[in-house]
Amino acid sequence: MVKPLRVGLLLSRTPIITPKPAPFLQAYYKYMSELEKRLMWTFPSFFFFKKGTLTQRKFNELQKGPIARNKNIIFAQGEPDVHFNRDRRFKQEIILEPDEQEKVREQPTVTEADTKNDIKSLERKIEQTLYLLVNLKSENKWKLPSFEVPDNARSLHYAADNGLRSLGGDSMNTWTVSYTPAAVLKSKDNVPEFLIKKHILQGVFQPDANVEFAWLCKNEIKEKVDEDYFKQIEVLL
Amino acid sequence: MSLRNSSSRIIKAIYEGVPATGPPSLRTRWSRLRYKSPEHMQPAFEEALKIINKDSENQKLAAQNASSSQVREELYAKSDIYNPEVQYNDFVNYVDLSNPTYKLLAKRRWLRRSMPTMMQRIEQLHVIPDTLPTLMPEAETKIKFLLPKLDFIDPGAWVRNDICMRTPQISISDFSLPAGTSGHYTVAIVNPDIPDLENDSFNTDLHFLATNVEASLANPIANWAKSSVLKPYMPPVPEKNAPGQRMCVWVMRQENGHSSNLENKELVSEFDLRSFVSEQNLRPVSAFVWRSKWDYTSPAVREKLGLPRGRVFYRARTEFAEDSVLHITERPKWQKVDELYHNE
Amino acid sequence: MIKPGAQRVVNMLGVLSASRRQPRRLKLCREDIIRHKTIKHAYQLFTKNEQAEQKQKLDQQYLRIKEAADLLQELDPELFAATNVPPEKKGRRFPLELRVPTDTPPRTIWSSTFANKLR
Repeated sequence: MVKPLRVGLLLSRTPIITPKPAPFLQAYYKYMSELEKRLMWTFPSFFFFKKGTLTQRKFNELQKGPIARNKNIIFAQGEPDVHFNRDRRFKQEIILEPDEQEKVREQPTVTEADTKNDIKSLERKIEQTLYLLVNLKSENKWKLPSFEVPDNARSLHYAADNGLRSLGGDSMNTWTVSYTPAAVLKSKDNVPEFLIKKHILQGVFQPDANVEFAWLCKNEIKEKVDEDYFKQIEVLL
Repeated sequence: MSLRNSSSRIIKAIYEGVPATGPPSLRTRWSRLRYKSPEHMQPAFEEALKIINKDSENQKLAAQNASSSQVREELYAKSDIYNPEVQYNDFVNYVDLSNPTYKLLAKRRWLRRSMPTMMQRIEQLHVIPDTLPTLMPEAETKIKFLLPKLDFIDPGAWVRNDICMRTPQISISDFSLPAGTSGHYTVAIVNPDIPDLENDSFNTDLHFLATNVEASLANPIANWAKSSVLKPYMPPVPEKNAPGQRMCVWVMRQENGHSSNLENKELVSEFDLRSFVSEQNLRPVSAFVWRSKWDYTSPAVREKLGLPRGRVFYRARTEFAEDSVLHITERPKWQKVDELYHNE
Repeated sequence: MIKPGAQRVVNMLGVLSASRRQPRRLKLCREDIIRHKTIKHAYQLFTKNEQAEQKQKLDQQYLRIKEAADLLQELDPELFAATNVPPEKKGRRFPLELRVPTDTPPRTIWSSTFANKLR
């Protein structure tokens, strides 16, 4: 026996990397950091490198010193104002030894799954949140996974968890955000479907052969599902 | 003409960045050459301009669907305030205040700076509720005594007697009126600090009353010649050792506009501002206060006005401080000496 | 040549003192003041719009939660009561495996192997 309601699952993979800021913010942050550098106090190298030592000499050799003030020269673009080896009109650029600078090799943000357009992979679109969509062969309709609630179910989130394990196997680590349903979806057959939010943390979703599935972001979901269905879940994504 | 020319070059520099020859707003070639702009300003500015223009367009669209003309005017004014050209004109005070956008910027400046000062002085010096019960500020009042090197005075300032002898110049900027219109005002100056020795209290005196004073944001200075002055200006003549006197300026908007009823009003000897305001349907929109006390110029001022010599007060000695409100008594020094002689 | 102790004091004062380490004051011309103001205004507008959008979305989500809770209470009071129980102490701690987004991706983007030990 089952209850006259269903439980749905909004299983999401949170973004792996922070999204790139908007073009305006990028330009704004750059400008602000330049202003900050211009207003920064001079680095007291005399405090960190003792006078006459080898380290001090090495450090000084690497620096591009400012142009010194000279009474015999007319500086048309303003006289240099040098204190502690820095022209106080401009920002100070400290050059460190090439070995001392950390060599960071950044991983590419476009992954293998992106190039292959493998929608079953969890490694795609690492800037965005992905959601699990399934297509049962018996129904042939893309939607969020939804399950029947047995009569003896203790709670909605247990029913959702059991449904997920029976559909996609046991080899995934998930976390329920809240026991309270995030929304209720209304369908034509008048059986309300309560959505429980979950995050996938580790592992993969491995269903049977008769279930198609995809990890999609918001824009892709819009193309896959019905218009009415998308309108109902749009706010939650 | 030259202003327009230089300003167009400056506005070009605002949009396209400071040229290699230096910023056109700087006067000397030397300072133009030495000038260095902050780095990476231009890309940030270009992106910022996109956002500001988009927001402006959105607000203009919203203004088209506005319900009333007043709301529409406000939205149009708001949509342009962040435009760099408008900001520059406001910065150099090259503005036409009958334009709603510049009016809005002026109003915001007033609300941020002068209005809180004015309200603070009026409250701390008890102009409210001593003269009128309260004030909801809607206009800015500035006062100036026409003397070389003397600008508008601060509210609550002590003013020397010979300076405040002449009729003050009053500027009224009413921000609650629609842009481009003018209002009619009644201006009253009252002094609630005239010592009343008989009752051990103070009397209120009317120093100035003018009605049908027309003022707009573009022409804020009140022209006394074109308005009807019911009582010509009488300067404060404080007496020696008496407490300082507050000269409270009240600007009241005539809700019915120009009024001939007010013009022909005859003043009774004891003027009551509260009843006058309620009778004539006036709305107090702004106030100002300055203070004066006896100083070395007072005798000369009295002489010029043809007044008799002022009284000299001494501290009243009462058993308990609360027994006296005035804390002064009229007792010329020489009288005491005379009494001594007579007694002998 | 001054004593080492005195030299140290001189160094300390040099590090702390503002007069020689401070840069020259930033004097902007009128054009640049207006440009700077424009950038600041745009930033204010941008963040304001962003916050308004976020607030609107959160408000809508709250309404959806409320709608769902009300309907569940009507349909099945037992299940509704189960949504409101405080989480059990074991097993529902905040997961350490939940990754905070970083600026650059890690070497292994997703750990696909996971064996459920609880079951």
